[in-house]
Amino acid sequence: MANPQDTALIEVRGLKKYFPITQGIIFQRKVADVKAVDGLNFAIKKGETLGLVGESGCGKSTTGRAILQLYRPTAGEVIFQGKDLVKLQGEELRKMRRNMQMIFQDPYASLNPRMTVGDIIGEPLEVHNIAKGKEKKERVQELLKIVGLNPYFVNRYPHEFSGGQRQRIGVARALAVQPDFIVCDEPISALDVSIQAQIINLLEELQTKFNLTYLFIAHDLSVVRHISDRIAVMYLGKIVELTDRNALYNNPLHPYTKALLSAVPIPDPVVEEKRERIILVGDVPSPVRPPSGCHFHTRCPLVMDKCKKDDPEFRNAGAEHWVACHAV
Amino acid sequence: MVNYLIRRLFSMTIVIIVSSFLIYMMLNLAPGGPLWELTQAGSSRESALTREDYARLEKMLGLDKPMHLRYIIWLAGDDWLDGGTRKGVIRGDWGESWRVAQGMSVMELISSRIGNTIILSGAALLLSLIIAIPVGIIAAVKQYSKLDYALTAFAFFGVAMPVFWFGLMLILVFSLQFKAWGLPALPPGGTESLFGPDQGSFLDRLQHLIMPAIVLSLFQTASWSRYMRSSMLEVLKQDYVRTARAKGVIERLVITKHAVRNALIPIVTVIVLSLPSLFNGAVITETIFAWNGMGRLYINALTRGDYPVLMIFLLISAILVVAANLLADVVYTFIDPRIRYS
Repeated sequence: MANPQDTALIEVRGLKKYFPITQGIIFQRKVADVKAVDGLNFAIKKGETLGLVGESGCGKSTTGRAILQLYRPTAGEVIFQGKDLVKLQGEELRKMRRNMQMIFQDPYASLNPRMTVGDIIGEPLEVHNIAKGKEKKERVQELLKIVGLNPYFVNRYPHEFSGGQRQRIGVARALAVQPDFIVCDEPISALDVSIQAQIINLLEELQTKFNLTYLFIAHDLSVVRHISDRIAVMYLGKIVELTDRNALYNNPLHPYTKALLSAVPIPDPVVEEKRERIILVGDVPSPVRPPSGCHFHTRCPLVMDKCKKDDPEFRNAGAEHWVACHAV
Repeated sequence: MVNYLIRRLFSMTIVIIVSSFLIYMMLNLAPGGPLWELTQAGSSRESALTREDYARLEKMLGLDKPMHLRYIIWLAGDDWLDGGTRKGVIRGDWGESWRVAQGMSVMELISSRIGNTIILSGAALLLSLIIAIPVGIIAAVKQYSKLDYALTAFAFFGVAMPVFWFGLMLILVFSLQFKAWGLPALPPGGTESLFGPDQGSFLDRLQHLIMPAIVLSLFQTASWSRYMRSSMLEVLKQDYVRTARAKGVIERLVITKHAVRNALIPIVTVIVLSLPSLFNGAVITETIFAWNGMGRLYINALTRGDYPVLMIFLLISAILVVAANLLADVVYTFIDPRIRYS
């Protein structure tokens, strides 16, 4: 499906993650599934940043976690460095974590409050047998310097830092094992706007320096435009459009993408005045019972009879511009 | 921290003085008292006791003075008044027992019992800790598994089981029935054998300790395991536990190093606040197993109106409760780096 090229670092095929809903007092039985991620196909090339955007609850974070096997996927394959992560178990999977890391959304909750910064950043070095003792300490201090923190902070605890500094600690922790691939799960959503830019710049700097590959999850379209090479748009557990950054912003094909982009304010009062917003009607349907056919048909301005019956194929509309829509 | 401690010690002193006053008043105002028995119809001494005798007894015990004065004498002594000899509690004069062990100094009486209580309550405390913490951890890690349900059932059993009944059942089975079946039986009561070759030996004392320690720890074990389980469930949901997994930390270490260490923080309060039981003892368990400890001393003194013994017992309890609260707060600063006092 999505251009499985030779240079693809990670390839996701038919990825699904359903969360069961159970009912019953004594005997729990499954009554339905929350189809958080419902069949994703895409690849990320080595050294690129793939942006993943969508509304809250559309399955972006679940996708990131399912790729890293923090949630075990319900179905599908995640091929990373020639291995299918979904099939790996226990120790094998744990060893793979050396090559893939995650930067978490909430810098306040994702750092263990009882561990010093040195322990937090140094722990991955120890569990993957990279460095110990004095070497570990030096490496931790070096990492702190790389992310722009004072290396003397090693003995401090997370609560002594601000949100932006904490996120830098999170970045240093992810970098410690020198991974190839990092999932950035809304790394800036919890930060002040002024700090957001700092973290984005840091992530870009580190990408060039260490040749990192990012899956960048966000809901802020301008940030995603800034940092991504290619962008995937998600709606209710599915990718509806995937193409390179400029094509997506200049020539969006999917009606959902158009609606999303029309919601971005333009920092120019004259242009902003003329901006036409496409207002979607209704709410996002429940992922427990997604609409038949195209998931978007309940809110789509271009809806046709066909959309209610057939799930549109995710196809290449030319120049690697992938889209899932009957109307295109 | 030092400033904090000074402030706390100051307020603790006030709390203790106020509570000692309240305890003194409550004891003295309550019906009954040391001479009550003598005035009851049918008492062997009732017929022989004249009004003058009664007044003489009251004067001897100092009960003839007004209550506030009695409290001051108890607290600060009366050697600065005419004809007084008492030095008062704050100068280390704990007085003598009136009825439980007539004429024996309270200090001596308590020190003869405290050892037994520390052994029993300490054993129960250790037993509870050793069982409750791992049980709570396992139940949380395997939430909603069969094992979790079994451990939950055990916890409900432990919380709901009345101590007096459970103690009697253990005696019935392990002392009486086992003996009748010719199996090695446990002694039904006491702290050590009264005679026999290994009377008072370590093994002998241990045998006497087993059943009361189990009975006493049952409730604590059950409730602590629930605290630990819910605290652990709370922590396992935290983002930093997911961070640890994402780092590639071995699952066992994710549980012990990242989750348990954080889950123990609230449990420590519960445990530290239970430490005064090392002094207070356990009334019911000690009574069932004829364990000569503080709990029995207290209930004895209470029913017979032995004010000097009761006052010291309740005062020390109050001090320990207040001290345990301070200790819990101080321990917090060691285990939770986010907490600092100034």
